[in-house]
Amino acid sequence: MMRRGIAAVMAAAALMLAAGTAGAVEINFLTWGGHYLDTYNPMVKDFEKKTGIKVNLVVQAGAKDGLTKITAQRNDPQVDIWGSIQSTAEAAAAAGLLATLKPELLPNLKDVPKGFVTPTSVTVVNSARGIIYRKDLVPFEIKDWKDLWDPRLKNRVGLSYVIDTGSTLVMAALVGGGSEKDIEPGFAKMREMKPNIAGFFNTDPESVKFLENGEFAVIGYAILANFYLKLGPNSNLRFVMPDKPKFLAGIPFTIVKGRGAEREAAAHKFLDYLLSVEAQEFLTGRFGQIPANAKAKLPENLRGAIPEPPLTNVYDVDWGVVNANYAKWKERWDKEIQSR
Amino acid sequence: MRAGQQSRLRLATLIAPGTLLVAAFFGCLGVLFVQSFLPSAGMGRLGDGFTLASYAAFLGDPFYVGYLLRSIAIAVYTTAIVLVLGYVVAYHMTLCGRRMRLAISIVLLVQFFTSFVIRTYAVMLVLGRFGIANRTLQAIGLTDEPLRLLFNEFAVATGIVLTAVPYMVFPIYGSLMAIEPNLRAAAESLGATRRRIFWEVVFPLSLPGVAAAVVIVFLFALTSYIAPGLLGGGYFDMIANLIYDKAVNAQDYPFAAAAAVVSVATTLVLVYLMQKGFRLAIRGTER
Amino acid sequence: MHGIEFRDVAVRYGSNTVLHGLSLAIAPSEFLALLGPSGCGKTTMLRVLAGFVPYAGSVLLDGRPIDAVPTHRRGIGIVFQDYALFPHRTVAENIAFGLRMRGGAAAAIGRRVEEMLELLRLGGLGARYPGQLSGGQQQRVALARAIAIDPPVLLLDEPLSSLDKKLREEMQIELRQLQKRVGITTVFVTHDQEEALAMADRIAVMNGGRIQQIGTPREIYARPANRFVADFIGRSSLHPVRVAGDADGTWRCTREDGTALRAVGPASASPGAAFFLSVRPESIALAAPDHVDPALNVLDAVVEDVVFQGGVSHVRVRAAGGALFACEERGPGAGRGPGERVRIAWTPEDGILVPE
Ligand SMILES: Nc1ncnc2c1ncn2[C@@H]1O[C@H](COP(=O)(O)OP(=O)(O)O)[C@@H](O)[C@H]1O
Ligand SMILES: [Mg+2]
Repeated sequence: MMRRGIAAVMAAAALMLAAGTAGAVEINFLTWGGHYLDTYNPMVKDFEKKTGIKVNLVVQAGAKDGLTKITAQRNDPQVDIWGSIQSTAEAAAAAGLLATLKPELLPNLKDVPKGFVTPTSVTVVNSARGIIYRKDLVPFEIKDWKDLWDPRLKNRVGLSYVIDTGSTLVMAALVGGGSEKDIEPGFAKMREMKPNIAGFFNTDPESVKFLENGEFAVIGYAILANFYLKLGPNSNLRFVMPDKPKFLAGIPFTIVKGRGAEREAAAHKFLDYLLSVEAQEFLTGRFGQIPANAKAKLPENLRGAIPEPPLTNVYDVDWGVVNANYAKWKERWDKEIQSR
Repeated sequence: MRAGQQSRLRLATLIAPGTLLVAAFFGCLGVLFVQSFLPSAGMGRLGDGFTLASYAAFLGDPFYVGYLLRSIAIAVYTTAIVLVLGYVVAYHMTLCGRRMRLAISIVLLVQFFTSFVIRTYAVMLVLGRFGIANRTLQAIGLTDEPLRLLFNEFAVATGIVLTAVPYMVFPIYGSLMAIEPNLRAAAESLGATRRRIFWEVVFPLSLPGVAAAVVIVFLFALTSYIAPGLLGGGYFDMIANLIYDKAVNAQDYPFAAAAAVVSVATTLVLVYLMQKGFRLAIRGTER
Repeated sequence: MHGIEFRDVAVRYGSNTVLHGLSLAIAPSEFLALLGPSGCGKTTMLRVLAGFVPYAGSVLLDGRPIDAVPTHRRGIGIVFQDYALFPHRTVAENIAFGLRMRGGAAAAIGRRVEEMLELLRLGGLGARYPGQLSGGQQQRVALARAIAIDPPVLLLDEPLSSLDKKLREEMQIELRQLQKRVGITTVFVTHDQEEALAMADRIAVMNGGRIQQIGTPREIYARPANRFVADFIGRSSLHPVRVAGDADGTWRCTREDGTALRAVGPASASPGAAFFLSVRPESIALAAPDHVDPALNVLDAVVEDVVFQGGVSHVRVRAAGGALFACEERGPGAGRGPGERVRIAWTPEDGILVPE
């Protein structure tokens, strides 16, 4: 009897404690690891100091992995806010996994161009795509996508099909006069490039490592953010953003459906924080990205590496078409391109 | 009554974690099994109904079955190579001095506890375009251009072999150490030379350790993911790479599940046959 | 038949000297027991003979040194303490092992194996694995395997120590008969003195890496060469004494308390020398408190305790001056009890003076 009494008192105390802490909302933020974590950690702390909302960072191996996680958690969502890439954000939206954004909770949206906003996502930053290469291992200056087919690059180019959801193939199709809607020229151009291909990589860290140890002299389609910190006047790496077309990947942020009104509001608050001028300049400075907020300044180091905004000739990939054909193309790619 | 309840409770708390693990494991396998029969609705969505389409897609295409066959082939011959290397190391450890034995153990354990990725990159330092092997070949003038030692089957096999050696050494070393030293003395007194002592006494009695190690290494090799991923350069993907790619990149869960189910079933059959073969060879050595 | 000789054999493990320059000759067809407490170096002697350990000095077989001959060519038969049967080989394969190593024809090997199975009463067990045999059967297989190769010498390292008492006694007889029949020179290691006394032609008593005494069982028992042997073999009452002088071929000596006794001892003894007086229990007679016999050593004593064992009673008495004596009384016994006053008596020839 005595024991039961004590237990009841303790349970009551625990309930009160729980109620007390319930005021402090916690949200889960799914994003990439490594340098991204180092970047977001101080921002999350700053945000918590300002709002009292605690943000837990959850790591995805890649945008596709993030999509896999969100999909698997469909019935019991664990993520509140998710930063990924356009193709995965669109796939998640199509699968009905995402909440419709509430512009009234995002005051900073007024400074973001309309093109960066969809009903379920806001592009927070834009990341430049292009060719990155080792100046010491490439005997000429690479300027254009067509240079990837230069015979002097025999056995020197590293590629990946999965990077940006098949964008390498789309680029090849555009070079060959086609597009994602007319992919045949892409496969033809890729077959033509085979003598130049040294190998294929699957993850961002692999591409960095292979360029560093010289296994690849060129990454044929590269994400600037992965190499940004290694660039500079003394670096033997050089990044080119070829014109016609330019590839620019938005980093869309989305809010996951089904986490409750309170968490959803907190997630909006965090998203709005990321769109603030201060956060934008910090974020883009760390990755060499282009801010979405028009009032934020371009990072100093980026001047020269990419053309001055506003960027022209940015290719607008139809992700609906790519997503629908992704698996089929991958099979062909494996059989026709990724084989000797 | 009270004591009985308590001990039952204690037993339950002891068994619970293991049971949970096993249940979770079989639960996952069950989900995999069920999903392999569902139609795919594209981009990670599953349809309703029952279909063998994924099995047909996997088994019906030599390109896909090739991943499994290729994986089995490389697992078989890398296991054989690792067996020879591992046995030599383990046998040497039973003969050498205490310090040498300690040194070998430390090297193997450091290797063992180093992350796969780092171990695999270490292989690259040797086989890479600017690796030790190519530098040496160029220095002695055997080749002008660096040879393509990486991003092929040879590199993948080398990676598997080098990372698997510790799994082979320790079980074999254990069974070698368990051999009664007097058995060697007895064989010697009966006129056996060193070579015959090894083949007639030591080797047969080490077979239980060999059997365990061979199964471990075979499974390790067959399920390689990082070695083909990093050292194969996309040209020698194995079955685990295919399943991962289908599940994560193509989001085709039923296909990935069907490929996984077929692979697990094939593996079970192979391991069963291996065990059976070893049991015949081991007869009489159980102590 | 073959003889063996150890000449100044010494073995050292690091700084630990295990054998201190031993010399020992074993005659052809002799059955020699190496007897000593555990750790005294018995197994090491066998290991030297088999060539398993490096040693200083020399081992000779039929007068020729075999120090340079490696083990596998010495052809010596060994039965190990734990038998060391090959667990993965059948009984027949175990017995055939040494024959195969010698490269004999399969048919000849088969015949020899059959012969051995017969000799050691292992008929019908040829196809079994060692793990399926009893201890006694395993022991016989080990023996069969060792003698199948027709070795010049058979070494047995405590072969019976893991058998139970009854089986052990059976095997002692069997082994001894087998050895006589085959006529093989045999070195038998044991720490069991009864076993050594019962089986051996001669016994070499070892202690601390040295041979203490070599002789027939009777010699060892009746004339122990020193205190260790007297104490280790059989039971004996040992008391420090000093030689006083000689009388009629025996020595007069005195105990610490002044009691005068007579005993036999080495001719080299001289007055004043310190010895131990050893008397076997069966030599001591228990007599009435008033018994007198000038031809015997007679002491007053009080019974301490009595252990009745059927045919014999072990009686411990405390003599005047405090010394304890172990005595035996045969037959149903007088039903003595503690505290009883008695006299103990023994002939001077049954008291032996042994050096420290
Ligand atoms: N391999 C060895 N290394 C070091 N000391 C040993 C070794 N083998 C035996 N000894 C030592 O030598 C002494 C004699 O051993 P052993 O001949 O086996 O005695 P036992 O009379 O009991 O057969 C023992 O003190 C033992 O500890
Ligand atoms: Mg011993």
